[in-house]
Amino acid sequence: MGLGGALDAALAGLRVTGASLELVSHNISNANTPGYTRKVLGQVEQAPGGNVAGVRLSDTTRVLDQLVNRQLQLESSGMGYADTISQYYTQIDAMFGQPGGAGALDTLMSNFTGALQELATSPESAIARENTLHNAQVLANTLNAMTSDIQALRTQTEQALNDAVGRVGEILQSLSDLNAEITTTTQAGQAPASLLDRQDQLVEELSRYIDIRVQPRERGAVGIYTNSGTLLLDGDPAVLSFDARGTITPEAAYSSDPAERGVGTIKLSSGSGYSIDLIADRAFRSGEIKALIDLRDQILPQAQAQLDAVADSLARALSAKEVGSSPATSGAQTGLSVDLAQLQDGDSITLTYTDGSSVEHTVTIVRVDEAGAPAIGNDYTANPDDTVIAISFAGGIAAAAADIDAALGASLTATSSGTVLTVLDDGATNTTDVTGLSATVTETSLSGGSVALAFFKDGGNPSIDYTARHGDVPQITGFAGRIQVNQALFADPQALVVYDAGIASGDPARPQAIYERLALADRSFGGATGVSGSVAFKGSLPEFINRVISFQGREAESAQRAFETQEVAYEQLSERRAAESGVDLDTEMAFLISLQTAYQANARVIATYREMTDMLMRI
Amino acid sequence: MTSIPPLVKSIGWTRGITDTRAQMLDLQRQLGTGRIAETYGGLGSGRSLALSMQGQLARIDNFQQTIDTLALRLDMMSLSVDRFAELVDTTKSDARNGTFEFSSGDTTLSQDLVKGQFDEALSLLNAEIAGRHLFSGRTVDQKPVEATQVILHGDGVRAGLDTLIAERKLADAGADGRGRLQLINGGTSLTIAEDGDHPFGFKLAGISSSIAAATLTQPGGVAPQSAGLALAGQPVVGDTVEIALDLPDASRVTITLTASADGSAENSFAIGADETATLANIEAAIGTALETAAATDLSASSSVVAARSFFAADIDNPPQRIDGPPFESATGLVAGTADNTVIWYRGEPGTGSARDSSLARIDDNIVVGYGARANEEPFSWALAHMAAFAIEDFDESVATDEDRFYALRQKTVDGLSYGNGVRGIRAMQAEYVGLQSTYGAAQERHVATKQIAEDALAGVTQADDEEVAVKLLQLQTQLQISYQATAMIAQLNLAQYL
Repeated sequence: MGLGGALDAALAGLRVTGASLELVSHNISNANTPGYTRKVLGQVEQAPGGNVAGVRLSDTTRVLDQLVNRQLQLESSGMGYADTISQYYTQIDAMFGQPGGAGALDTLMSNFTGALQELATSPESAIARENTLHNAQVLANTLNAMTSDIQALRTQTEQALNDAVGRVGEILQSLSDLNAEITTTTQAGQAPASLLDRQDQLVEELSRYIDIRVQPRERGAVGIYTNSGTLLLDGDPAVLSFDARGTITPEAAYSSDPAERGVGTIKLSSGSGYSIDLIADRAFRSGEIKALIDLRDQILPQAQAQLDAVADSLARALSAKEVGSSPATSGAQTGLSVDLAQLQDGDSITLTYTDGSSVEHTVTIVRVDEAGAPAIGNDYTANPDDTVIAISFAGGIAAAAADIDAALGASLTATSSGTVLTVLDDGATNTTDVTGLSATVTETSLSGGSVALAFFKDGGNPSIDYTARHGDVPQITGFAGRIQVNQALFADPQALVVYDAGIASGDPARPQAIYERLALADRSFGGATGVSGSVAFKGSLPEFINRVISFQGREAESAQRAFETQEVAYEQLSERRAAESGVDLDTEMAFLISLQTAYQANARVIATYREMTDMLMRI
Repeated sequence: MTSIPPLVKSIGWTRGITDTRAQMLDLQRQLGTGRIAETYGGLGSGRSLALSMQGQLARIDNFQQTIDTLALRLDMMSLSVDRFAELVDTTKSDARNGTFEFSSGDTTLSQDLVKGQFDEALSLLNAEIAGRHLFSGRTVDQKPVEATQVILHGDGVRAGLDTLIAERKLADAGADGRGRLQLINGGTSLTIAEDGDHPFGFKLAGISSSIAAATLTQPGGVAPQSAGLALAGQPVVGDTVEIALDLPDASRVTITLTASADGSAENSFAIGADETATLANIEAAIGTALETAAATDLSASSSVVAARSFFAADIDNPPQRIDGPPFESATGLVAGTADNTVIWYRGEPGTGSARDSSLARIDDNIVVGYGARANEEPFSWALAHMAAFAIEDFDESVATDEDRFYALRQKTVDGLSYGNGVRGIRAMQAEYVGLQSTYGAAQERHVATKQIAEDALAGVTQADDEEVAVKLLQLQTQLQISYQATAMIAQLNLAQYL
């Protein structure tokens, strides 16, 4: 009370104004620092015992809208996801070539069928034969190159996952340290505004990688969980590890069984020694890490499956040969028999019979020699109405016939003699009738007497026959990377026309057959390729290729659109936050003026006090 | 209170300026390359249309190329077939107008003309384009026909057509020149019998007579046939005995003998003292008539039959030779071999339709078969008759040769008119005209479809220069205004007014 109180109040005001000025200059100098929020100094009236005695400083607070901040973190993970997917899709899109360009897959297929037509018109022409082989080689090489591009992208994702998991670990560790610092400084009564800024920055960076939920803890610390509930940081940070593989091949796929897994997975080990496989747990729902996992395990393998289906079709359309049956009887039983000498692992036998109610049934028997191969269902073949049985011929045809007999049931009998399989009906009971029996085998020779030929082979050196062998890792997996034109054709291009001894060099039968099988015949492409949802696509090979290119183009476009949409949302929020917490030079300048005035006023008060005490002293 | 964001963070900057600049760069690229997008992703919803149009254009190009090749070959083949038909007509008229006049050597003037036409016809069948023989079936690298000289006269090791004809003539004529018929006189009955079950010589078709007292025995129908004539009484002057004989080339000749007082006229017999004497005279007259017929009609027929058999051969079915020597008493045929007999057609023998030996796909579902083989019936039939006529030797001094010439001439003209179930050259010409119109129609369709596809493709993948230029101009204006506004805002700073 009194003059002394005025001096104290003015002094307090000077101090506070000085501190505010310091903060204003701090704000201005950090105007362009990323992640900096505008700070204001809190001022509280000093009023001990109800008497006004001046002003005192309270905390430095950040001007921040927590809601916008949280929203931004959410959108950040969406951005991370969309951005990564879009970037990789740009590369996938580029891989399929320019529309109408010379290297595009559909152009190469057209070139190949064009060369085949020329061959069919002039089978005797050496130029036409060379041209056909050349175009086939270019097509095979392009499929090889695209496979290697896709696998390179997968390897890139593997590396990126490694880096991302490493960075996430670092961030979690920094956040944990920061937690400790923040709680200490808060306890000591000093406002940790810049530490909180740093915390926000780290959390935002983390949210780009993983979609997280932030739980505020006491004294400014935070706990971090993924949106699916996995604990990342609460007190102690979780330890994340990633076992990256060096190179990724088409056969290397993700599996929750560690023995089968060919690619790395993210493991979380908590302090108590318990570790879980986060990918198997589906712990990630958005963010860059999820994007990389989706790319590595779904998107890129699907593109690979599409190319593999193209390669499989190229090889099998040309090498498939039908072996017909001949009638057979045994006592009262009648049926058909077929020679299985050329049946290889992956080939199949088709049996049709009518049962007691004259309903026709179709059974497809697939030769699967591998002991531990996964079971195959009725959707293994294009025909949705047939029953598919897998039989191993590893023990010889006799043993296989016994297995077939057991699988067919009581109304049909299957026996073998040498390499010939005979299926007979039930004889005297006369309820079933065997109506058809044929084997679809892979022609391995170039002049085997039929128009089928082994045009494409699996692998370069040495090359093996492609028979779509089923197994733990089916032969079709990654076949696009191994498909080659049969080298024997280069040595003897005549084999393109001469399919048997005595066939003339001008005989168009084989070239016409090759053209029809490749360009015109309808084939079925498995649901795994995804070009028509999850059902098989029926159409010719060129139509399938067009579908694949169209599919990938559309996906690339969608990814780009999704990214742009996400970017707009993110930028709008970012703008709002900047509007709220960014340093606006005009505001700071205006505040500076008012501080200056306040300082002058306080100084004036002190000067007036001095004058007044002087006056008193002069008495 | 709504706060104003700092300049660099505002959407006006990021969206307005940076995005606009990026758009302008893309439009510039479109102007420069003429393409709307560099990848399929950027094409938008026109992607599927672009893919299917590209595929269609590629297919149409291939079809057009095939049609070009086809047109070349078809035109050549059509030309050859037309020229062959002309030669057949010329030969027919030359033969029809031919007379028994010689220039030099053993062949008449008309025969020399026909030889020239035969030569040309054979060389037509050897036509080739770019190493591909057009009349050889599937074996397009194999020259279809042998040289004229080799075909007609052999090459010293292998027997040519002349040898085969000579052998056939001997087999048909028999040792006694009576066409393998025997006359057995039993006193009052005369039997004419074929001398065995074989395809050579005369075959009895029937016997008829106007003699009242004659008893005729018709040929039995089962080889070896015999016909008989028994006289119970004497004929009167003017009575006839007719014997119908079938020739190896399925034509028929009839010997007519007339009873006369002294039997001095040709084809007449004298009425003897009694039936036995008359029968003896009849026998002698038949014998003479047979020898004459054998030397003319039968000989001409032998030439034609041998020639037809020779030209029906190919490398799978070599020509049939007479089993002998001796040929005069031969009773069967034996297949020749490629080593001992000339096989005139060296191309693909072929079993199915000759058209299917060369195929061209000119549209999605149209495969045109246009192949041909030199051994097709229109060719081989005509060539057989031309060769038979051209190769024959005649001698002015031999009495029967003039009649032989006229007989051969008639058979040649008849043969070259085709008919009797033989496929003619006109039918083949019509086939090729039909093929030409098929590919002509396909070509027109392709041109029209190509135009439509190209337009559709351009609409989806090509940048329209005018549209791009207008957009660029709009963006430029927008950008300029944005830049000005940004500059103005940047200037407005409180610090400047303090």
